Amino acid sequence: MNPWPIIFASLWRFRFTVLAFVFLIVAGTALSVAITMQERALKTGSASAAEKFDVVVGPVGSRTDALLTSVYLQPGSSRLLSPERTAELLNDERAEFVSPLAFGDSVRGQPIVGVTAELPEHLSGGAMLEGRIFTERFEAVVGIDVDLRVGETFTPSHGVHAAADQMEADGHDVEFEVVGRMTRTGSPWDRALVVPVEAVWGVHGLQTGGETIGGPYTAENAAGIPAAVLKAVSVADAYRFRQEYNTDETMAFFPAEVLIQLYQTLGDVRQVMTLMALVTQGLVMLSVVASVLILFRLFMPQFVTLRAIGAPRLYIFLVAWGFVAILFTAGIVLGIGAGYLVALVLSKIIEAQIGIALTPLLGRPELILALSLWALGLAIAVLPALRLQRQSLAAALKAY
Amino acid sequence: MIEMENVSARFEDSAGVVIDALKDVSLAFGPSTVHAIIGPSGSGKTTLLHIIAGILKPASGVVRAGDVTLSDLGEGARDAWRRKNCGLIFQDFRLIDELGPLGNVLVPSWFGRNGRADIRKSALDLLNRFEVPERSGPVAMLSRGQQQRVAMARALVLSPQIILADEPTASVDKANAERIIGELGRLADEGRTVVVVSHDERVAASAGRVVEILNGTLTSDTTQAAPTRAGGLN
Repeated sequence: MNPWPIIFASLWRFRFTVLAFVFLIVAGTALSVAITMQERALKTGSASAAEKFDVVVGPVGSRTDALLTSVYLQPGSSRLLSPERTAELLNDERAEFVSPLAFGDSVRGQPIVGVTAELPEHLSGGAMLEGRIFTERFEAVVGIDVDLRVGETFTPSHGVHAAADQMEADGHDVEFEVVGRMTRTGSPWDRALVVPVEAVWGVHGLQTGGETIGGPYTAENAAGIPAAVLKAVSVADAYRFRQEYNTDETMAFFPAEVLIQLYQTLGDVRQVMTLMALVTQGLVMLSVVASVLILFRLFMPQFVTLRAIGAPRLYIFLVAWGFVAILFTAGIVLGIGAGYLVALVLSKIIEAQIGIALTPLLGRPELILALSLWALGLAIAVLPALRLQRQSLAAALKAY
Repeated sequence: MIEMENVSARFEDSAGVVIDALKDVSLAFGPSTVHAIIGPSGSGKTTLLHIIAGILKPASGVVRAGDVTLSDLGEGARDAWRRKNCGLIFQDFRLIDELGPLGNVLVPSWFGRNGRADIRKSALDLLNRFEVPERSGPVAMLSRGQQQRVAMARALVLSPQIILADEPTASVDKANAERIIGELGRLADEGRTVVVVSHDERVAASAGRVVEILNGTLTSDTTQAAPTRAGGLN
């Protein structure tokens, strides 16, 4: 039995209608696929960006705020640890290192972060991609996406500005030399200019640390900081630091625990959006089937002729079902591709905005979703085919 | 040989009124003859043809085709029998508009396991015999005469022994009608059973036998010794 020539000829005859149906299915499928892919890319990207930050310590307040400030370099709360607490924290010799984070300046909209040398080395995987780590107060290392070469200099502007004229108006009277470039971190740190914390304090008229950069720090030579990153020697140590630094004055947390809370919120939103996408997809499928039922009225003379010249009912069923099944199959396959492209474009846009490397990948959830939609489509495709089976041939010959 | 014994057919019209389309009709249709069924519209001619083809099951009576009692078969078995044994020709051709001439002729071979290469050769030979260009685009682009010839080729592609034609000359011009009449005669001469429902006097004149039906009842059954034949298709 060979229904294909009739199916293909019918698809060609109604090609513009067929394209419209396929487009509807593509749109519905792409929406569903893009939502799940994007959500997973956001989770993976944000978790990957945070994985080198063992424990974040900051003044008591919002942990989400502290996480966004420290890991994702988003402007946040202006609350600071006291100089005493800062010195105590930065001098904690039980940790592999504790790096302060100091903000407030930028270059062409890219943030300048004051740290100690251990943090950029750690984020860069132990070695610079190019050059070396800073050793002097007005030296800097830059993230891989910063448009400054090793040996170039820059003057920081106060705050985060995009416009060059404002930069000049609010510029500090100091100059930093770029001495190194970090490897790619997949985080907003790829767009950061990292300088000694003492320099950040200094240009803001605060304490300037000791004679050399990198400590030791005292309540007298340290300024307050909004957050610090603590690298523990072991997992057990990390848990101990987290417990010990949760006091009346300080809070400590693992970035992952805050991310999980964020993911739960994100997950709820995703569930609502996925449900909406699935409902949309279902409505698309039903509207396609309803339209196909109308379209099949145009096919009826052909179907009746086929029956009259000896086609078994199964043949008519296969032609009708095959026609609709091809629409759904093409729509869903193209929809997966379109969904992937949408997720890719969205990822690039979000990546450009927040600096987190997002890599949307087609995975099991999308394949299961697509297979479910496909199976549903093939099942729904039976409806018009079954409807045709109810006709009496002699009556149909008269009617058509 | 097709035999009908006391065959009746009933329909319900849209108002629910039962109509006796055929009443106790007994007829036999042998090979090598063109059997013309004539009568006014609504007399039951097409119903008779549908019963012979197995499209319609009679309300009562027996229909036999050789060893097969057609009236006892279910719909699927009647379809299979029709597919194997009958070639149908319709007044309005009933071609598949989406397909070209060759595709239309090949259609019956797609229903079963007839995927042999010789079917394609037969189809091309038939189109050639009926003077229809094989690559002339969608069948709807052909003239009405050509379309009816494609329909005839389709009816013959699987070499059925029974040809059933419903008003085959009603939608074509005189020249094409004469070619079709001639071809039906030629098919009968090849040993086939040819049953033609028609209003066309030329069809009746060319047939070896003329059966007249009125209000579902057989009113006359005449055998013609020397039927008038037109030219046929080569």
